[in-house]
Amino acid sequence: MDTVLRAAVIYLVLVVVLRLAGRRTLSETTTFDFVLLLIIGEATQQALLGDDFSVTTAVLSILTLVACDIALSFIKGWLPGLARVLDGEPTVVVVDGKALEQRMRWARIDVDDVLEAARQGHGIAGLDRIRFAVLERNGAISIIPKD
Amino acid sequence: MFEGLERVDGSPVREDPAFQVRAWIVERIGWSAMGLLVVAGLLGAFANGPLSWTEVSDGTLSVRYERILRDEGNGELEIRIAAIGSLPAEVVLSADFLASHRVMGIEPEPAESKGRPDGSVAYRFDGAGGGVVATIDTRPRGIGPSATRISGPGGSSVELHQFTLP
Repeated sequence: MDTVLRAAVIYLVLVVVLRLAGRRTLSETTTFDFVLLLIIGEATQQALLGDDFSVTTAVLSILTLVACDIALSFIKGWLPGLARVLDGEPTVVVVDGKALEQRMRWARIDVDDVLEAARQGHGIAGLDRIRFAVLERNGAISIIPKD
Repeated sequence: MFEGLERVDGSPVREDPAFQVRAWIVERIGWSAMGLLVVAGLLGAFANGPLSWTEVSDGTLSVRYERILRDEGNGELEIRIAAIGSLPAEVVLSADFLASHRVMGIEPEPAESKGRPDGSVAYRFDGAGGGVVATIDTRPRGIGPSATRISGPGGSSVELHQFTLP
């Protein structure tokens, strides 16, 4: 029982903390973000398993986490409002070559992030060639170039 | 304040600026809450810090202990027994204390330990006639609140109120 409860609580905490951390926090994995992910994984593993290294506990933890994930996907299907809260919504940050700076500030991105996405995805070097840039729900920036 | 959050004409995605602003505000409230939790953690609100440590004493027996413990974490009791004449320097961990804590170690090593019919265990230290300072390392057995008793020589006794976090 203990193992299942631990895994469910950890899952819930991670959902809330990563949602509050914002879309940009772990979307662009820099070297530091990679290390941060490893540390989060290590801390989570300690809380999940403690000093119990049995296969049973490991299997039970994995099953609980996967079950929580499946259950949450069903719940989000039944409650679109919850899905919107947990996943967020895409946000337009550039329109017709003009950066919407207020939105960028709130979303913690800047013009350089948009230009980087434009260069990588479309070989575009300037904002003036972008029709729309959209900060997606997963933190990635999509570019729609001008014709 | 929210300039630039009007709906974008011809937007390629379905937008709800009011929802987006609320989400960003909640995000920032969440960051503040996380910051407060970190500060509370530093101060010992979740064990291991100044807010957690407390001391009880009845004159003869003093116990410094942590009010907040963590499940599977280590706890510590610092016990001071004042000298009372020729009475042995003895500390008795009650049955309810032992039911909620595992004793992991005692420093200095007691000269004698004796279980009692009521489930308590008495530890006698060398140093009768003089005071004794001992440290008992413990580990909580379960989560939630506990009120336990520790006794010393000459009928002295103190009550410990602790809470073990999951």
